[in-house]
Amino acid sequence: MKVAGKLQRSHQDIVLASPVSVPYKRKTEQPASYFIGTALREMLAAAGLEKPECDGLMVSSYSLAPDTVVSLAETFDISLNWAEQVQLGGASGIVGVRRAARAVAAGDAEVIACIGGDTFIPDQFAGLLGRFSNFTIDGVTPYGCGGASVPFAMLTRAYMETYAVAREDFGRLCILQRKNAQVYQQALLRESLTMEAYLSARPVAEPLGLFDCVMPCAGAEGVLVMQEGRAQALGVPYVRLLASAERHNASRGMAMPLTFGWRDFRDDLYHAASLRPEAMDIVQVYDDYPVMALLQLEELGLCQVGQASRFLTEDSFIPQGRVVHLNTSGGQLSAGQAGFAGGFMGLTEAVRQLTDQALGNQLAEVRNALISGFGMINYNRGLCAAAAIIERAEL
Amino acid sequence: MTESGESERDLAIKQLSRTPLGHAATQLARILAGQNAGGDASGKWLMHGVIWQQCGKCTAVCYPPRPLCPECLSEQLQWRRNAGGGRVLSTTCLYVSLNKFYHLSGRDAEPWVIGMVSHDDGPVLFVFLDKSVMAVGSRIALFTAPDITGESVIIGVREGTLAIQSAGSIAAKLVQKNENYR
Repeated sequence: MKVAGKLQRSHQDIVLASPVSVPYKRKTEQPASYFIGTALREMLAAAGLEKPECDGLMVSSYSLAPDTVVSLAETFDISLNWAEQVQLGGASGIVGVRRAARAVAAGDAEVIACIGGDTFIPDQFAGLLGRFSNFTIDGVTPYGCGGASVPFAMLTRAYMETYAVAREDFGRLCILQRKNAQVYQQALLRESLTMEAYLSARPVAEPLGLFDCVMPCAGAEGVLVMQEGRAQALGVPYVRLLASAERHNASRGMAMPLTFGWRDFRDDLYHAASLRPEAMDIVQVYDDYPVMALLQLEELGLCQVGQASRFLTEDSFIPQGRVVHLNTSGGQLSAGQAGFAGGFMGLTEAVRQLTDQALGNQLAEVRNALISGFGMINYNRGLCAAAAIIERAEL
Repeated sequence: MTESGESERDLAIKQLSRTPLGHAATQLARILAGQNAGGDASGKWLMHGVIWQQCGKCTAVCYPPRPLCPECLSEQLQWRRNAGGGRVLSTTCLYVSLNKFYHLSGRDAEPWVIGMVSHDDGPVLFVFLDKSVMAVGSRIALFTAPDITGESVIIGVREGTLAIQSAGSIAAKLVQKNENYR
């Protein structure tokens, strides 16, 4: 058997361009295809591409059904050489871009649009969450219909007790991210958050309170994947995709896992990118619940296990005395969770930052970014872990 | 009533319906609890232990139910009752539910305690948990009883002579009717 992450190859000459975040909406009557199609239109316009020049499409969406990626080809009247649908929840963005990068490198397609998008219809949402998988139907939903909050409450409590972490430690992360959201124009939640408000918020599933949970909404996120030469010919700003990795069901056999797969591949990921974790300027971790953000920072080697909150203040994340820009658009905890688009948000935001196209929150002197994703609570834990490293292209 | 003509109760029950395998587990639990499988779905019953599957080929046990053995992928999974206990891995007190039944059944005044339990024989289970055993590592006894839909759920209580009484009291709350709920 292949050892996890070994033989990880870097992505040579593959770039990401034209990041798009379709503004999130709390209320909508539009279907998922509206948001996905809007992202497609905007990314083609940004790259100066005609529709037929985009010959690959990768989508992630839980609310697109009964349509699929190829339904969208007909809906948007576009012929494709390559079509892919990645249904891996919060890992979809990184895994999808990774698939697309391999396809472009192999010559199966030239320009691939990678889009995560979902609509939000409250009445359907409860049903979808409660019937997310067969194990959920029989083994989780009957116990109070709490959705993902139940497994994540269990995980949060276990993390708190194992590493002596308090609610305030998660609160600092939420406050930091909310500050980032204040300058990100498209965040749904931009008002400042105080520790008092965080701690006294109404309980959802103890120890989780209101501000530990993302606000479900509709929206889409996406980027284009192509060869560097193509991006140069188009004259479009781009970043280099250096390395990516994925691991699924890594915690099998563990009764109460506090590790989900990133540590299995992280050494190879950094090796393939020729960068060390301490060299990362921007880190975008998947923050469906604060505990996951901390676990990713630890598993990806930014700090020791159980220690992430010690390097967090309400203003910054400073591991080993160096400021690392964390979840620069406020994360899903501030911007909202537009279904599987949440798994693309860190990616689109990082590509904007490294191409100087940020939406009101541009950082100075940032060269690279680490992005990670996490998805699919099939029963009592998330199964899909993924991460990627991208780098600014000096034009 | 909603646009589709279903009552909130119908929707709540639909949301709680099980897979065919989950339903089969209920049928067996009800028989082992001494109640005819064809009886009234809302009838109360209480069974000591849990229903899960065991492989006839490699003896592995598994939960939640599935069509093939997770160890050897054989088709020889058989339903079994297991009367063993477990220990608490983690817990939560649930205040917000996606199912209106939980809010309308008086749950807001007394939120359910949910536990994640490591069974002595391996599987990890979600249970309705006795408030007195919320400490991580607590030993618990396990029971199976019907919820409002008649399908089975697992209840975890403190081990000992009062276990069956505690389980019965949680089981009664699970099927409690609420005047405001139609």
